[in-house]
Amino acid sequence: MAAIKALFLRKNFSLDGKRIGLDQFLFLLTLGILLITVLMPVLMIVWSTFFYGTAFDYQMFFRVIAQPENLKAMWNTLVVALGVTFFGTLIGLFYAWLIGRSDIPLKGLMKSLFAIPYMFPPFFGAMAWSLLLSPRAGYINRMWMEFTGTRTPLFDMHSLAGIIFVMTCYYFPFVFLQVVSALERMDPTLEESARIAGANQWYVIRKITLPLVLPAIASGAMLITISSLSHFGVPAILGFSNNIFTLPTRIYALIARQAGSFQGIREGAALSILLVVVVIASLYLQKLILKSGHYDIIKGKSMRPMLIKLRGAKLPLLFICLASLAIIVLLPLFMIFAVGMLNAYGLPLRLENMSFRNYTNILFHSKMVRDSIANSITLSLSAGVITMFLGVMIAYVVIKVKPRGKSLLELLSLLPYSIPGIVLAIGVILVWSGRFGLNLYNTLWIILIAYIARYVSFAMKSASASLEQVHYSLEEAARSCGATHLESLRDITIPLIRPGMIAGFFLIFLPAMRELTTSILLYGPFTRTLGVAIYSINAEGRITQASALASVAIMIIFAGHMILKFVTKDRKGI
Amino acid sequence: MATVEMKDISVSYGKNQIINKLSIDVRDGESLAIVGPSSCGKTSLLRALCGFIKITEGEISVREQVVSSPARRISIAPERRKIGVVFQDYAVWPHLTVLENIAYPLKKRKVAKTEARERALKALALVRMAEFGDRLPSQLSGGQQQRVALARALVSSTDLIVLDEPITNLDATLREEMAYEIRNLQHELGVTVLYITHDQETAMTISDRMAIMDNTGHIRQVGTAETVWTKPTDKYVFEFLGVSNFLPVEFHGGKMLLKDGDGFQRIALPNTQVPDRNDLLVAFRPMDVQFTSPDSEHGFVGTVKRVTYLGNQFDYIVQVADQEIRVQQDSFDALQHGVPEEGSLQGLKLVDPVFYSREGQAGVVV
Repeated sequence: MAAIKALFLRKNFSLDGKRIGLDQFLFLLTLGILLITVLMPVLMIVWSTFFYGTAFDYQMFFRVIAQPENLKAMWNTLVVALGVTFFGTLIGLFYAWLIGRSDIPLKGLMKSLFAIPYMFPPFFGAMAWSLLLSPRAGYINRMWMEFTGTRTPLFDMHSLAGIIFVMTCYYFPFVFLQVVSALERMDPTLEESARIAGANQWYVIRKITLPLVLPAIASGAMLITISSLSHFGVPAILGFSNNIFTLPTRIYALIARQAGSFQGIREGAALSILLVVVVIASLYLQKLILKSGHYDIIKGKSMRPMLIKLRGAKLPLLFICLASLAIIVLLPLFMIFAVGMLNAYGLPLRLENMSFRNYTNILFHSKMVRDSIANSITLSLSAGVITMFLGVMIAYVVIKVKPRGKSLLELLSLLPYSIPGIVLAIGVILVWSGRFGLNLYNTLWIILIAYIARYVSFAMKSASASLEQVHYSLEEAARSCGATHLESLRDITIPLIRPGMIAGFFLIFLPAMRELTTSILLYGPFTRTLGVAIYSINAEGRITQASALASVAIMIIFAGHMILKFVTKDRKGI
Repeated sequence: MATVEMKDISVSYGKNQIINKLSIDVRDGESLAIVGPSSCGKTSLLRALCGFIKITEGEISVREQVVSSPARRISIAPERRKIGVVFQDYAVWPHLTVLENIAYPLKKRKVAKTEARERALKALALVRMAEFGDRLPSQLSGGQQQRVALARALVSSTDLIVLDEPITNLDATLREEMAYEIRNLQHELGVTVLYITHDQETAMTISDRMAIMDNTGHIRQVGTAETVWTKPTDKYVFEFLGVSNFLPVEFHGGKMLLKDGDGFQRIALPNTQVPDRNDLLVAFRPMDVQFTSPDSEHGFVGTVKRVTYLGNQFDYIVQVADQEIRVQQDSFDALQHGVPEEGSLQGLKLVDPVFYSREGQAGVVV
């Protein structure tokens, strides 16, 4: 204790005109943590792909890549990503224009409906749509076959088209939100002056509005592309039964088939490199597009836009909107809850077939399920707290201390954002399965480390946003009032960014509660997470129980969102 | 003895040198204003004094004790310099009440709670904010937040406070009022004040002495407001203080000549003995020119280009040789003597002009 005190006292006397002590310590600490949790896994993937032991071996990489199944998976990944991006952008634009620029009623309701896909993992949607439209057992397909008397289903959800459909439902809000906010921040006089100059409505949309929001469209579209390239859950639920693989599911299958042998992991690592290359290429493309179309005309300030009168088209468009939102958002939720109550899968959805038996079964008679809930809560809470503090420290160093090497720190903390979860999981396995003297495989620790790496960019972004608001003079005022550096952080900075810290915690806690992609490679016999439990119960064919557990997860996540909303609302004049 | 001494200090951000070998002293109990254009390094100077940034050379002493000296490897932490600071953006902590804000320095200096509260309330009364103690800063206006910041600085240090343009964000009336209030408080409490501003009027209101800083981080002149105004050491200071006229002139055999095209106009000045020189500028303020008859013995001639009525005064632009000068005249005088018409030729007479060397910035006062 005395030694620590001495350390903090010592920093008051810097020796050579540089600021040493707390700032330097924070920089080295965060850099160290990021090097171990983020950079090491990435380097290990590259190393294991191209080195066998210490011998250089590039053949394995090309052999794996040239395998027809893997080529097919790569092709599927690209088709899915492009399809989801195309349809997601189109749908997102349609809603964004209607809500941002037209006089359609019920905008508030629609906006809050759009927030729902954000809350729940897409693989719940995949489960729900599989319940409705799996080729033989899906409720809609059965109704269709009974009604028409044919034996061909209306639509097979277990197909590439099905995968694209479900993922589109979950990813179109990326474009929607970006474009709506750009439309709201656009100076309406830009459009009005075109109208005054004699342009008609359609011409204004084409020649003025669209080019101005193009950067927003491009960035939203690229978010969709990157997310769908690395997405695991939906193709895993819908594709496995028909042998449709994308790169992430193929990596998982390779490793699962070889039961975690080192060869399997090496092949997975090789495919991971391929996936990362595709993702990085997309990021690069995004940069190119955004650079070519940058306009400063969109201001940070909110303005009242000129609303376009829909007149006769208003009611039909409103109907289309509400109906499509009901199908995209509410129907899957309803199915999860309804099937969760069914006594057996396939029974008609009537009240007499329903009970709470599934819930009592999973919650009271399955230790695996109870463990998984406990594991997920433990993991999400600790990952939330640790990562949030890590994010605050990184943001503090990057924004306030600004040491040499701050861009390295920033890069490392944002890197996991572009690394697919499944790839990160392989890297974490490679680092923490004994090679460096510490074997955490099959423990919760390895999942925790993966979560920290996966979510550190969220925490860092959220903390940066609130730290930017704290002007440096607030801290300096405390220093001149007699507070040490540490005290000024404790008394002034931390209390001021507390709302941002709480929001940052939930930004990690909520996605971690439903995490599937990384945990599915990292879980051991006693360390299943909630997502893994739902996935494996569903894969075993206990569909009603999987739905019941999914609805439990939905309720936990929903409660989390309510708490988040409550907490961020109460800001006490800050 | 709350004195400040800065000796040959330099400050740089990376390769960018902001302040280069600057020296200035603040005497015990005085109010010194440092005036300079924006981004001339005056805030950096203050931050170096408080210990928020390091100096690369030189020495800073506070209360006759060295607080910064890279050569002697001394750098006292900001919290141990005991300087009260009022920041430009107030820096009132938004999550603490007014009273908590003001009592914070006492809490850090381990003053007993009841005494701290008493002293904070007293400081609050000094800045006439007694009834606002329980408010949050977000419930206060800018001027009120400024008072809170001032009270906090006064509590933080009883003998030395520095202020960084604290009232520039306020509107004109409030600014004037606050300037007088700061001045009164300083007199009342006898604290040493270092005041940073770009506004020379505020500086004149608040300070015993003012220092003029230029945009390369050098101090040009230090003196009382009156000295600086009446005897600016160089052209820079003259120009910085207000609207200025400069005309190139030469002296030959005791006569001052104004260059006019290829020839010269003679400007007769009473009682000036200037050695022959041909590199001078005559400097004068718009109010220090008087209209006379164009064929008067004294002075020079110019054509009135524009006449503007400003209520209490008339403002003219007058073409003299190939230069334009500004002339201002009290409305009462102007109406009594007749307002010169636009386009008319007028005689002009200078009152108390100063002369500076044309090249370089070195001052020559005649």
